[in-house]
Amino acid sequence: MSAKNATSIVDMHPLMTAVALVCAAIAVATLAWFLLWRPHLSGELRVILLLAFAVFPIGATLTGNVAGMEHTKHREFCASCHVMTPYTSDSSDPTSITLAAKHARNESFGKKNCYECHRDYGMFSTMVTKWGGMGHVWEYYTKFSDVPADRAVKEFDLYEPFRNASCIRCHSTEITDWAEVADHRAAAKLIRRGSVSCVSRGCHGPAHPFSKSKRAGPRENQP
Amino acid sequence: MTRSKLYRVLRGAAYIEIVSLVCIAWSFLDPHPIAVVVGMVIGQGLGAAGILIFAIAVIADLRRTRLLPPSHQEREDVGPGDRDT
Repeated sequence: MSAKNATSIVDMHPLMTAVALVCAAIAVATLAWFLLWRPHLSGELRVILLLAFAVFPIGATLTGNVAGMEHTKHREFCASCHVMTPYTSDSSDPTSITLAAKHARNESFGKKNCYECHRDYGMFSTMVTKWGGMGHVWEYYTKFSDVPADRAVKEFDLYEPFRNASCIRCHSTEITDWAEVADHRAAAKLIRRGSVSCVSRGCHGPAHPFSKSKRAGPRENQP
Repeated sequence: MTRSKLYRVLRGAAYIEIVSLVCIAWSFLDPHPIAVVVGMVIGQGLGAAGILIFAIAVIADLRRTRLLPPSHQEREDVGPGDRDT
């Protein structure tokens, strides 16, 4: 995997990075002084240790969390795994007409279009999405790190069909404009239930040039 | 907890905390996903452990210097003739 084009957190969030690194540096320097000099356990040392163990590390962690959470939402972070570069390149292509590229040109999505479409739902959506992301890291390093990108895009796929809820979050099916489209009216229940995908090739897809159609499951075969 | 044992506990917590902070700093400087995962999971996990050990040491120190009441076990260990008057 090449990190030549990858952008680190320090490039994306310089202020938060500076705060986190300064807090971490102060804490490390103080703890190193404590370990090397072995000072007497006085009242002043107790206060210094409180700063070195709690205050500065918590400061580094909090800013690090915020910066890290934001950094991992950027398309550039997704592209740091080489198997994703075909997808991210398409997203960045101003002439591409795929759903991903169109949404990337929308300011509401911009450089976070991967995350905004693929994130999970509900109150703990961010945590669930980040947990799923760690699964992706595991999959990458155990299966795809040595696989060329052009072969990888043929092999891997979404864990489950893309949910219409991601689209309906912005493109409501309750407004009259949506219902005025004949195809929408005819398949309204199926669309809301997820039996017909918004991103299928016959409708608004493909989302990516390499998207694969999901086979209908048992629920989708129900009338 | 004796004073020397307290000091050893603090030194152990300091080593853990330093490793944690190095992991977190690495996640900032290296764009690889593995660095971000290590920093945000292992780094923060170790950091939490270090703070927890420090908190335990603080409570033990406060009990030793009688600024906090002794634990239930310590009260049971002290017989009637051993109590301070």
